[in-house]
Amino acid sequence: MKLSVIDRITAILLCITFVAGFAFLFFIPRIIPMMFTPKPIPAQGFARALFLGCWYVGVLCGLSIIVVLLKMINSIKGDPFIKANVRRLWLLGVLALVIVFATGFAYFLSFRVLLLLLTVAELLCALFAFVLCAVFKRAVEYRDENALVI
Amino acid sequence: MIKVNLDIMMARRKIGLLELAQLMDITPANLSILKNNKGKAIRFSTLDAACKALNCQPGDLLEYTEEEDGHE
Repeated sequence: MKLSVIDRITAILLCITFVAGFAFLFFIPRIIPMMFTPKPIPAQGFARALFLGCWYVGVLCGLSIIVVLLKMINSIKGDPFIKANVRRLWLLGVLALVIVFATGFAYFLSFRVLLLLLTVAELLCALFAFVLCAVFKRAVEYRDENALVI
Repeated sequence: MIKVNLDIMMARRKIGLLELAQLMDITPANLSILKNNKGKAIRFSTLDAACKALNCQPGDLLEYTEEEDGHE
């Protein structure tokens, strides 16, 4: 089964976001301080390293999320109602939770409202992924049961 | 549990799986699922096709038996 136009556009946007996110990894030490001016991010070595480390963790989790989403989009070509997609949705939730902890920790290092907002938004995404995982799991069970209706 | 006695009726009528599947207009794979009691449910249209092909009644194909441990 071919992907629809919207699915293809989504896949292309995911690829573009992945490339942009990967490139962002190399520019974190330069871009993050610029984003947080005029108030500087933690100046001391260890706190600063922790702060930037949180961003690295966040971006790496974000890249992993994009890879998982691309796999899910590709599964539409065949049968998307498979246990692998249930596991992927669960993984999305876990990765989003890791980002929540990373941004939450970064907030406590810098006390910037932006990070608090990001934490809350990411928490909602994590909860959304877990709920969707539960719904998808039931859908897979229904599908498997219906497959055995002759 | 409901037991499907398709294999017994097939033997009585001397008809093979492939031939019966063609007569019933279902895939051999689905017929095999039915024959081996792996199916979860059967449509009336499928039961109708089976009875027509095997010239029998639904009661000849379906049999209720008590489960020893009490679950489906």
